[in-house]
Amino acid sequence: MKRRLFKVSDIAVFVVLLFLALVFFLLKSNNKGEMVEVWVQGEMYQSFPLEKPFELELDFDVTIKGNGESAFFSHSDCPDKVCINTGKLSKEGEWAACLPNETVIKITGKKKSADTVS
Amino acid sequence: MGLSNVAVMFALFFIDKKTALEVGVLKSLFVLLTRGVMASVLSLVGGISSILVMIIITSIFKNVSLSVVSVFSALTHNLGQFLVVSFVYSPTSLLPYLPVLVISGLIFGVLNAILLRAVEGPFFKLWGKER
Repeated sequence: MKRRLFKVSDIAVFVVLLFLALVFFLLKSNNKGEMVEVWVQGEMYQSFPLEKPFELELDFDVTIKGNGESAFFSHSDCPDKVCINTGKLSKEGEWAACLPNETVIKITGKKKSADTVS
Repeated sequence: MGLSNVAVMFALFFIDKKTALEVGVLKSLFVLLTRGVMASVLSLVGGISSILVMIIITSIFKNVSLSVVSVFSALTHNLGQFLVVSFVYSPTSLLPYLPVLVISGLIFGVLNAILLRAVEGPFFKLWGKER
């Protein structure tokens, strides 16, 4: 059976999905975060207030920096550097992960962390 | 990256479900050898769940287009991977990343479908079989 690549009705599906993406985008919190949590191997390792600059060098060659406005991976020995390329995090709910090093940084707001859906 | 679903879809649409699942598992083994354990777990969970979703969609909607199947496959794959990362590393909020998951699922879903349509002909020729 030869399946069609596109059908006219596909437009409806794509429009609905785009609409959902928009809704999710609008629901996203724009609140500036309060704390930066650093999680290693599934456990919270340390947390810092977002507004104070900090530098954390983890002994598996990963460095996390906070510049008082945002937090980010500044250095990592991983091959793909996805973590570094995620860039600067500042809003509640944002996070970046370095999977090979099992490290995650999360920005949290007034609510405590460990929510799976904000 | 992100376009390898073509192989799985080819197996699902032109061979059989069992082979599609096998291709999914083999893909993950390949990832295990090249990128390590965590990446292969992500590939396996994302891959198997997206194959199951494709099987379900094609069973319910007999005339569904390649693009829509492929898009939902990509969406499931992305979601599955996110859930694994969240489970293994840290419970993280999904909401800020849903727009990205949906948009990239749409883009890569459509790209994979187009790629599949493009390689079907040449592949069958190589294979020596009739479609």
